[in-house]
Amino acid sequence: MVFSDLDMELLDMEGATCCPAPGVFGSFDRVTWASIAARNLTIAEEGGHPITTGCNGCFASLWDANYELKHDDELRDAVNESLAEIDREFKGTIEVWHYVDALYSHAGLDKMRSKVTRPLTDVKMALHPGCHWMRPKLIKQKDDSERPHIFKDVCEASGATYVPYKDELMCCGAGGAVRTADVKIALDFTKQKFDSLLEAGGADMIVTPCPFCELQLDLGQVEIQKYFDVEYNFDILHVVELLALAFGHDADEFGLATHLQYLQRKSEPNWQRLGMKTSHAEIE
Amino acid sequence: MLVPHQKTALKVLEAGHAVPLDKESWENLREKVGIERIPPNASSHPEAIEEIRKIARKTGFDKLVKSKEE
Repeated sequence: MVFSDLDMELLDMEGATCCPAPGVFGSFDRVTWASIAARNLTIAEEGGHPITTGCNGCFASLWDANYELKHDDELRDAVNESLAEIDREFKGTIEVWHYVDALYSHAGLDKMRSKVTRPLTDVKMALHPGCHWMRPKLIKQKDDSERPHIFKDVCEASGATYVPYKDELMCCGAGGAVRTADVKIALDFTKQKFDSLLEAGGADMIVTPCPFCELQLDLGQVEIQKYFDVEYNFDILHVVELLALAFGHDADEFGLATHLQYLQRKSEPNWQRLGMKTSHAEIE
Repeated sequence: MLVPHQKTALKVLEAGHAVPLDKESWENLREKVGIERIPPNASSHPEAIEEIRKIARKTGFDKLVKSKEE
């Protein structure tokens, strides 16, 4: 809905599979990781369209594989040998974009601001940019990973007030297959981020451009309570959910109340803190 | 590989996705927000799953994920 509001058309990739997960696949076998990613890339190549994704991890696999296959002939030969088994070939004809960069570069901040009918002016917003859509900085050249501004600029188009905190650029804890291997270690990272935000005075919500980070920050609050007996109550929004609210959509249109922390706690978003009376109400 | 990583990798080879649409409740949630119950990815394209299994057999990844933890 946000993309169509901005006159951008998203096309489904028929038969796409897992990106694949960069931590689990990329860490154990580079050719398999690149081959499965390349299979997804060939689907977009067949249609002649760029890929965009709203997930840092998927972006890491698809962008990195696309880059490496365009620059490493040995890897490309090995991958195309695998793809020949399924009558596919990586040609290197398309680009991969993260949602945030696609919105920033193709729609632009002025257009995003022009679509805001429910400015979140009184909402204090902390950001969690995550690790993979900007790093490695020297290769990706998407933004300065140590002083990023693109994600902040896009989020501020909603009208919400940005709250900086010391550990903003720290990992959520989930990535690199850490959550898969040891959830308690992953939660220790998450807890440190939350404490850092509280030390900075807290915020009404945390916004992230990645669903895996969103899962960790959202469900992680329930899990931290279980493992560490500490309770946090942050509403966690994906950047597209933030823009959907600012563009005037009802929260029910994109299932904000179905985030796992609400389902598990039998609670709901703090509508008043988000500037709404209910999921349907306009900002006061 | 640690067992949890093996399980995730096996899930991808089994379902095409590390986080597959394996509960009816997910399909109900998708329907509730106005999108198709099953997405047009590997969840509705079994041939896509077979393709990544072929890739895994070619690269030997199928054996790696079944090997015992060291």
